Amino acid sequence: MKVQWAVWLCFVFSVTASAETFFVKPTSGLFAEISVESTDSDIHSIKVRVRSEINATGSYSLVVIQESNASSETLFSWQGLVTPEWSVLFSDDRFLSNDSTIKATLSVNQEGNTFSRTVTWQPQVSITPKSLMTSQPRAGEHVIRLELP
Amino acid sequence: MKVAQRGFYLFLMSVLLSACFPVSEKNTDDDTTQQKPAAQQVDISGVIQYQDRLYNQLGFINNNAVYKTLRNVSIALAQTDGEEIEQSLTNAVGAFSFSDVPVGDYLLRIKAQSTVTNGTQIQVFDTSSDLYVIEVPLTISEEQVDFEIDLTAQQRVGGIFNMLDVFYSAIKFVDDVSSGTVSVDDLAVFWQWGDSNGSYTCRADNISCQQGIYVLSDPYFSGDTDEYDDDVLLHEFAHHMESSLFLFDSPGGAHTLHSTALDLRLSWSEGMASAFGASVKHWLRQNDPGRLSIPNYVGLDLADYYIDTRGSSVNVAIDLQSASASTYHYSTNEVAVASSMLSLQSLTDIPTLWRSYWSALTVNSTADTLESFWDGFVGLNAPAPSDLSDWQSTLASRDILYQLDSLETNQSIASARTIDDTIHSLYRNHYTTDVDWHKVDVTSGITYQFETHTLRNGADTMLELYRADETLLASNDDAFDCELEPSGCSPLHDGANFSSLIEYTAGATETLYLKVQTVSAVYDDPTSYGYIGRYGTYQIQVMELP
Repeated sequence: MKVQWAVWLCFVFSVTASAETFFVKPTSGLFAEISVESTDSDIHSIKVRVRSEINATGSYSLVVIQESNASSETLFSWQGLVTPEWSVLFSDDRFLSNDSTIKATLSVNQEGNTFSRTVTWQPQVSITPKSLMTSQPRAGEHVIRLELP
Repeated sequence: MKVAQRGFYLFLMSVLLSACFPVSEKNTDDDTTQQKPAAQQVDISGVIQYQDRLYNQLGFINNNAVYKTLRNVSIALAQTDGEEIEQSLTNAVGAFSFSDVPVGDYLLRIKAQSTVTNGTQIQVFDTSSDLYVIEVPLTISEEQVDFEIDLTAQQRVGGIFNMLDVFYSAIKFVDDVSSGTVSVDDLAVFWQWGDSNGSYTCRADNISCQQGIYVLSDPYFSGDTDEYDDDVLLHEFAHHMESSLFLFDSPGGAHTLHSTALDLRLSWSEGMASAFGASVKHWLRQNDPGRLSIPNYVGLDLADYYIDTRGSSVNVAIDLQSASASTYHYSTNEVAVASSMLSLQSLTDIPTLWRSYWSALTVNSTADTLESFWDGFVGLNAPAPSDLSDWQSTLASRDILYQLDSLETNQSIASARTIDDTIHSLYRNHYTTDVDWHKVDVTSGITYQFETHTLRNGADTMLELYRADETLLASNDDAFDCELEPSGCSPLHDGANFSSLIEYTAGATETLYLKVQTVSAVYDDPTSYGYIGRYGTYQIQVMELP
């Protein structure tokens, strides 16, 4: 018999959406695209891109932070020149807490004028606690009880 | 004694005596049998394995579910309330069995504790020093007596057993390569999901932590976790080995792969530890390739790599043996040390390298550095001249000159050489430092500055100025005392610290002689001055001052 076990951990949750994307658009012609793909129960592959639809010139800055009740963490912070092509800034795995909020602020400076916009986004996760089996506390042991899925 | 008291003590003695002799279980069984039918008993067996994560120089290779068996891991069969009925070990291929088990519901308790065949024990604890125990419910019936239990990475328990497995391989390596003559202390590993204090080895004399290896798990902030980073684990194990064998002189402290100015004891310890990991992987490839977590690419030997993953990418991925020699050079650079050891391993073999390590450093009277290893490596193996030349050449490719420099022999006034820009080595032969004599023509009335410079490989020169009749005119150890500088001696071996300088106004037109040697402090106190190299390199120059 091949048994695949699921672990009981108090913060286990599952992600219902496999991939999501949200945009920040401070002014016409410039976008930041942040796509989030779940690769694990709470590991998300995050890809950040910036794109100018028109041949605008100027500079931009992009800050993406993760906020939760406990903390605020800057996930990315970038500055660069506006280009007409998609520019992939970042692609990496991050752990997103189920109670976190993602805030992305894209600012663009064009001919001395600054446009800035912040977009708030929450990971589309649903918390599905596993049916818990109470572990017997034992002196000197850290017991993790597994269960059938 | 009162009668009542005596009766009580007789009763107590009878209880104690009855505890000394086995109680007939048959009677108990018979009693039970009379009440209900005996439970059916069966023999059960199974195999336990954990999910490993493969990686290469770019990071983890996803979608590769590799399972490895738990070797000699402590297990127990327990009642559903956790009370253990019988304890056992998995065997060398992860198999287990229990005999005469009444059918019913049980827990299989898998403990993060393994005993290697030489008796060395490894345990994985959380940061509260509680041993990890995985409980798996088993329903045993006449039909269900064979079990395959997979501990997955996603459950966050696979990593616990990867650490156990990697350290098991490391201990087997030491035992096998040393032919059982070397063993390390029992190993305690501390790891907990979300504990972000880094991966490091805590020595017994450090009161701020418990002796053992602490493994990083920082998924939420840096995204860096090390429980599947075999190279990081093997590196830390090497530090545990150093500590076990009292071969640990490193002062510790911050270090980077690029730094070429490290304390010799630090660069040695770190470089040796990285080389150790590579050697274990080479050994596994020869002896137990299924335990490796790196693929076997054609034309790219990842056994020589040190890889530290972070998320889906890597913090560090460096080919230790082939890393740039212009960036990673000198014995004060940890990558150069690792590269030198692995090159020596390539020119000899794994046992030659590591038996020298285990033997040589235990008898040396100087600090443990690449120099003391080299002394033992050459002394123990007595290479043929051509082999010695090959060994020296491979070190010289990283500017580590454990060989005579091109202006030798110049050990006396009579054989003194004219000053030029040659890089001089203070190496005479293994165990012996060199003395260099240089000569310079001076003109009466002119002030000269004689200076050693570009000190590398831990050099600390002593400069003395002589007349032809060996009259000492002047001497200098350090041009400036870096300990008195605002930045101290940091970076330690930056090429300027520990150089020597003499200013001298010639009283006659004549030939003067400069003697350069390693300061004697290193011999007087290798513990305090172990950062000073005996076989350092330097250059010397002379300038006329206005």
